[in-house]
Amino acid sequence: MSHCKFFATAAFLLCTSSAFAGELKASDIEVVAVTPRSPDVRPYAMAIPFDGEKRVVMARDVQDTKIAAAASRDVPQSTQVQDRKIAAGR
Amino acid sequence: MSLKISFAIATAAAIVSFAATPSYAQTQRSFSGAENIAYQCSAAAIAAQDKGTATEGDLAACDMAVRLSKNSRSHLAIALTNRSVIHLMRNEYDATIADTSEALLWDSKVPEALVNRGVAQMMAGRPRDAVTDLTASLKLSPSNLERVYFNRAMAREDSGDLPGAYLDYRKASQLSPSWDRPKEELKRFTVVQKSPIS
Repeated sequence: MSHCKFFATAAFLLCTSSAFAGELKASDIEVVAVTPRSPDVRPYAMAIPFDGEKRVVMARDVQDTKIAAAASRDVPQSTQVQDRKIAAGR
Repeated sequence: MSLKISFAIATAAAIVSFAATPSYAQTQRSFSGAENIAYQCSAAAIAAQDKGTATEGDLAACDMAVRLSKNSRSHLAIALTNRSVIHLMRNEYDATIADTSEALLWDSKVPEALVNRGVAQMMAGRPRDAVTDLTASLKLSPSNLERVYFNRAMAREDSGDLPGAYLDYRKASQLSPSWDRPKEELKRFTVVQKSPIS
């Protein structure tokens, strides 16, 4: 009997863990309706700023790729291209 | 005499403070010829994103940057990625895909190349390929993560994965709460949460 309680509790926690964690999964939701997206909404491209932190990483990369790989993990996120929106027409 | 000394000190202070300003410091960086062209290509790509269009001159700058970067894998990958933005702004999707694919051959750890290829795939009507590229780019911890999720939301929506699209718009909104764009997109969705029992 105690085994049953244990497995029932475990199953309950497994089934409801995503709900408690606040992370929804695609299988947790159902989209019942959606209106079409405006054609004005465009995806965003990303250029790489040559001047700035990336350039520092590149300079190291030429000398030592291992150092560069470590440096790139420490590089703060660039905000230079954050608000740049592509306007490539469909 | 003291007036002259005061004037000299004031002039020196002005020069020092002027030289210390970021804009002046930036122009004083010494680039090699190849680096200068690479910088111009990068600036052209960023400006093209702003304007939404790219000129022949922008493309020529990036063509030159690619030619002059042949002796460095990472420089070449960056020049190709920036040229891909120029192609994207010119609606040249095949050229965008070609440049980004080559950039990834030289350096497979450039998330921007994957993002741009994903955008080109989406614009060319291949949203499933776009989702694949954008998902791969997320594993490389790109800057502007919220933009990548937003792009993937669009691609997922185009491929018919509406729950996935909803969750990606939601993630973009969570990553950048002050950004209204994903919130606007979320308003289009009517979503119900499934019961865990059913």
